[in-house]
Amino acid sequence: MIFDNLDPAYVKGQLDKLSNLNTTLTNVRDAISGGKSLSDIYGTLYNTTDGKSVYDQAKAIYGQLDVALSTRASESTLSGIKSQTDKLTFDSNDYLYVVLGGSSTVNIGNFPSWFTSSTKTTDDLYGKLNALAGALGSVASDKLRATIVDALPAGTNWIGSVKIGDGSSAVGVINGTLGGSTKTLLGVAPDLVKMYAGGTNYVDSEVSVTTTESSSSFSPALKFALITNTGDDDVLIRFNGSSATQKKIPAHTSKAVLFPISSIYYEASTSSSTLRIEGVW
Amino acid sequence: MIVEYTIKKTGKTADEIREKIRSELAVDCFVELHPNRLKVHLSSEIPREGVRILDKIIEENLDGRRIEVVP
Repeated sequence: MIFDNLDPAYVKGQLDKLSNLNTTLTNVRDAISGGKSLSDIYGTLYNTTDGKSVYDQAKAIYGQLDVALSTRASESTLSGIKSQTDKLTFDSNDYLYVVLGGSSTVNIGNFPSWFTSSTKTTDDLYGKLNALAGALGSVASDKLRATIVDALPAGTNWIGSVKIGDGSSAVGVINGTLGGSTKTLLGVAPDLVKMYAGGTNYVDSEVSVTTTESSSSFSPALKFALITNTGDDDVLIRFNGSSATQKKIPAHTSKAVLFPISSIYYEASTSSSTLRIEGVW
Repeated sequence: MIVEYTIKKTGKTADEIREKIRSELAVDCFVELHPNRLKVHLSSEIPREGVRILDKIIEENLDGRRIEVVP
């Protein structure tokens, strides 16, 4: 038996503590509720304004939380966003400081004052572009062409090394067959002689030309040649025979010949000139 | 190899001079014959004796004198 071992003094001490139970249930309730009645507690747990209990509210909140985590920004995503926003810098006026395309390109913050003083917004820029468009629109449609024409050398139809023909007697305009019918075509002869210049079987000679017809002959015949009149007088030439039709090579012009030449007969129109004969045999 | 001559005679063509050279020197060449001047482009080098033979051909046919030889 357990009582056999209890000290009577200890038992009395414990029994004396029962006097502490001399309290009312009201005191107990108040001690638990902090002075609140059950009605008060009910009022706290049940909101009469929206008619929802704590349970209802908790359920509603749960309903919002019970979604896949992937639908919410993850911590790493937020961290990633923050790492980018942390890069934004602001000047002393809290204006965003922007560098376009990196440090090696245009820095808006470093635009010179003549630009930033009058061109601060995209509207300013639009205004200037609009003004430019208006200025260009006011240029007469033929003014640019006329300016270019005025800049070209007068009294000649050469621009550099390019001859501009009038469609009637230009060397580059020839009669040829195109699509089965004869048409006026733009003849373009490759400068084969220059392609061969300095190469094997290349000949480059100069002859003096007077008003008395002379000739040069070649054996074997030149496969093709470029005849240039380097003098100041026009030269009349015939190919492969003294009875062939004469062709004129005006002073300071060339004639490309794309057929075999065994002989060239030449004479000056009025005084004298010099022919340069380049060819490949 | 190019051998150039001044010439006094006319009446020969480049074809005729070329044939003479081919037959006597057994070397092919390109001949350009201008008033008072002749150029012979030999297709291969010839010895000094060959040049003398060439001189003789040009002298007999065109009364020519050698100006220069370009190897």
